[in-house]
Amino acid sequence: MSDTNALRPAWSAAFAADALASLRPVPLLDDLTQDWAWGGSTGRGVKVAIIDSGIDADHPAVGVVQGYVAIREERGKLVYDEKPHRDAYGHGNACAGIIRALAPECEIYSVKVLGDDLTGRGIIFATGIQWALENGMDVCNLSLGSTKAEFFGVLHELADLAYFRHIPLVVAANNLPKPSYPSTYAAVVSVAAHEVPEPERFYYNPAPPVEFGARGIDVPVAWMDGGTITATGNSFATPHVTGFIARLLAKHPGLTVFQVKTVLRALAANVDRERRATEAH
Amino acid sequence: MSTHDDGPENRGDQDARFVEELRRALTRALAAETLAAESPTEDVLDLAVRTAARAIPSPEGALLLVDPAAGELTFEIAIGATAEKVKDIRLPMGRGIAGLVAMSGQPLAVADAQADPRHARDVAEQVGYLPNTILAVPVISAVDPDRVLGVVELLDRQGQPTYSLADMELLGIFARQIASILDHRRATHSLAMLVGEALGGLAGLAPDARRVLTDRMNQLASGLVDDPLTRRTLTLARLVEEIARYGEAEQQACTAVLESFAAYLRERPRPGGLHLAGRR
Repeated sequence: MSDTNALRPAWSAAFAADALASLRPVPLLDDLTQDWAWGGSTGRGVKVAIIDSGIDADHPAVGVVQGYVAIREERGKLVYDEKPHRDAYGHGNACAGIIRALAPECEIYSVKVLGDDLTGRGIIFATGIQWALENGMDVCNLSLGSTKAEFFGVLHELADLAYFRHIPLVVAANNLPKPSYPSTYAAVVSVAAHEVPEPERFYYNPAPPVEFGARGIDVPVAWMDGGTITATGNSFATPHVTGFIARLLAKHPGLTVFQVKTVLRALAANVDRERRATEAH
Repeated sequence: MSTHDDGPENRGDQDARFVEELRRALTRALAAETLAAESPTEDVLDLAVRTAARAIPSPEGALLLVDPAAGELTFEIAIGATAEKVKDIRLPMGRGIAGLVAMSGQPLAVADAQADPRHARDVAEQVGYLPNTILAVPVISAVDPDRVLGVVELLDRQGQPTYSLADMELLGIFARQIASILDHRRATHSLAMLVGEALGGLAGLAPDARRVLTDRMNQLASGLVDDPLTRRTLTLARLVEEIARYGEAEQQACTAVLESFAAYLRERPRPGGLHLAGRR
């Protein structure tokens, strides 16, 4: 055949000889160290979307909020309000404070999808993720999810889109024994709480759906009116991992989601570096 | 004049008697409903909260229900020392731990609540009780998983410094049981409401319309709650009932208008239906 390209399915085009991208070598996973990954990094310049209940920029634990969007439904239409807003509950502040502590120079964007009324949450949540994907965010923190089957498809499509755009969606697993979307999808970085009171310690779970474990029990977190509380939940484990990724991306911009996961997997505290166990994953 | 006379001069009396009979039947039905369903439901809810508080040792516990129209949470069940004080409190959805849990559909455990009473200010100020630790889990409808029906909350964990993840999971199991009780109660309640509205709407209706409604209600009783024609008929019945409340003159006017409209409909050829070609 004279023109093989013409017969090649469109999605093979990226692998044609003249189009094939040259890649940087992947270091051996054993050689990956925290110092290589994020030593000296403050998350500087990495845009972090916190899709939550809003953020109070004047909370001492939060610091500067670079951008805002509050999404709500008014008369059947979605409204994007980019004026500065406040946190309706304290939950967004909690996430922002944890991320700020781990990556002090990252740029925080508050995507407020939890408002004061109970209707339309699923669609507003999905719209919040879409906003983040279309507005240059580098990593998204989702300490919430939807258990409604109706949103399975929409959220799955957004999770895949995020994956292909190399934007990690860091998602809290449901605290209740019921799947919550998008935390169950392979394309996201899913997080649940471990019990060790060390913010830098995280684990990899070789038997997902939940892939990573981070501090989530009795975590001192920013809350409303400039105050703090000690709270428990996967919601507070998630921003720890978001913070690590912000530091990683500041030092190694352009990593794909699977590279990010590989680095986290390599650096997890439960890696058997001495090769003592008979079975390691 | 015979007592079986169906003459127009007696219709008013018959209507009054008919409506009175219906009213009594409705009262009986609602009373039976109350006795047969409502009280045990509350007992079961109370038991669920008490059992949870015993399984996860806590002196105080509560079940709060979401009132979506008012945007508030109300105390349905409260146990412990503050039970009587909190019963009449309504919490705005916009604030507090219970509000956040109701809004996000995610459970939350809080330690050192005393160190920062801000979150519990709404209740704490009214009750004069500041918990040290809080565990709040959403009660999510099994029928509609996007609907948070309420929040079950325990205060001041005994035997360990804070509520653990295991406590959270266990209270989640209680929350699922509570949800199924609430789902059932809602279904029963909406059926009773529909029947009640239909009966209320009968007052002041012409006999023909009344018969139509009675037939409709029989269908309702057979479980056809979601039939669109039933719903439209109930809407009509509600309107008529509303008009009837204004007084006798309004009732007569309404009856006259409906009767003429019904007479016109009876005479009009039915669109799409069969009609006689030779009709004059």
